[in-house]
Amino acid sequence: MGVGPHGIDGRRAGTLVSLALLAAAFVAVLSDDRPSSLDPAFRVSPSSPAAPVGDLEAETFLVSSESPPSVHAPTAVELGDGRIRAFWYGGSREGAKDVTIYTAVFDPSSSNWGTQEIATTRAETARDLGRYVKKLGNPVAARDARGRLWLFYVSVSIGGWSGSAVNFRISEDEGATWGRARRIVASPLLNLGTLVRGPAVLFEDGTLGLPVYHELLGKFGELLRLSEEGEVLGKIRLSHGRSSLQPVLVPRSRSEAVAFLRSSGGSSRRVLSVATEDGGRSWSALAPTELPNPDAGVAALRTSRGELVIAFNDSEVDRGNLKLARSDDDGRSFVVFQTVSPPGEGEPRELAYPWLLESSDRALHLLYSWNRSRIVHVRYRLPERLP
Amino acid sequence: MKRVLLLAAVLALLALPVGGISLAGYVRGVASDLSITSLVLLVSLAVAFAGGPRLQDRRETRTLAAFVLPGALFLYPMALGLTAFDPYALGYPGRVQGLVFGLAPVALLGSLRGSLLVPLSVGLALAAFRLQILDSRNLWDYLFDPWLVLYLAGFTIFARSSKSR
Repeated sequence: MGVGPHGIDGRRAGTLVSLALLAAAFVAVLSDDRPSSLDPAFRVSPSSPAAPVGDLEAETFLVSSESPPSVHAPTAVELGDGRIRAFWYGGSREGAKDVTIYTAVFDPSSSNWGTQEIATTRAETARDLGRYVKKLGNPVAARDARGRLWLFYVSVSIGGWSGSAVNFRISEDEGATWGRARRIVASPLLNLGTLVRGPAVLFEDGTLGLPVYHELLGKFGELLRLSEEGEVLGKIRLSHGRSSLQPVLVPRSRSEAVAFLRSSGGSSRRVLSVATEDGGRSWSALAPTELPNPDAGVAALRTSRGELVIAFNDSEVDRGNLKLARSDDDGRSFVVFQTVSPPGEGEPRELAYPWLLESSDRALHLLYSWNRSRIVHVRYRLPERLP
Repeated sequence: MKRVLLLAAVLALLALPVGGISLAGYVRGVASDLSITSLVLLVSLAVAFAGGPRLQDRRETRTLAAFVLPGALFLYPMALGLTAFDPYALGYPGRVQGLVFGLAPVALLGSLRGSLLVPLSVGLALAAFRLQILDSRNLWDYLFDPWLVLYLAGFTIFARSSKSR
């Protein structure tokens, strides 16, 4: 500490310099041209009204190979040419160091899945981020308004899944090659405890809404707003406390959406839901739906006919079955219309982590992980109206 | 001179790549990124260690703690999901103006209390936030981090107990 006259002068000069810097910094931050108010309008496709009943034809395909032995958490998007690209994670076991994000492409005209390939690895992610990465987890694929593919995925550097962070890579060529991995910071506590599982939603201003959830002490859902460059512009809480995970958003109009959440850690054994009427600026309190939930992820979407479809495990205790239900009143009541048949019978029997997608040829695609050993794809030809 | 060389050697060691990542990358993986305020403290410690002027003294640290510790008490419990209100969300570019305006009295008050580090840290944090120097796009992460909070909490507790003795 300066005690002599020079020290005091130095200190005074330092204070002046720091105050000048401070003033400049205030001006710089306040003149920032990044959007300061986010357009709260979901991008929704116009839907045509539903017409008469028909039956659902189902075709089942295996997406992943026999190796690696442990696979989980499928996600998929439709490409510009109508093919479907899926991603999932696989390795010697969940949480192992060799877990890699795999990808494969489905050609609807030949009804064939191409060979699985590696989309991204732990080592590649660590190198891009310039930091140690211990393991990889859930991927989530998205396609933005410009047709670029986004691959969000979980990585852990320390501890278990509660030590997760979310990363992403962008592909300009439908997933053939990928840009550098980047990290999303969504928590002030060493950025620990943020995961992804549900599909991203688009906003009319070109930004992306990414549903995430936290699993460090609390268990709750949030919606991150990402710029077209992947910068976090803001986030809003979907729920709070210690009882809900893995939000899946289903917009209905520019301003209305419902989100379904996995029930975890709370007293409820039901699929939970929240809703917004102002484009996601505020959300209703967490409420149980009539669907049971065995602490397992659900998938949901709105078809081009405007029907809300949900894939869920119809049980409070295990993931032994997987069913599809529709709702005509945005999740207040449901009608089960399909029970999913796995590719084989016998024990163990787990149909988990469903992912739903409607393709432009009006087929409904369900992907799920079967006994954590195979990724299964079921294609349903959508009738004019769901039974 | 010896101390300058020692600091340079430590920095070089941290940049050393092991298995494709620098040693600093391993620390970063586990410890996450430090806030600008922490970096200012580290640099000021390094400068003092190398024989330069000492910017940080007990009074400076006390002033810093007087701002950072209440900030941490406000931020962390709610950021962990305690409430529907999320103060961390106020640090992202879409809603940051309120927090930026809130920092003006902090920096001025710090300055009035004779602190150099408080206005310097706030100014550098705002500049770094504008330039997006850290991975985070959230202003809170530029202002303080859990390691700084632990250090300042430890300092405060230690200062109290040594005073009462």
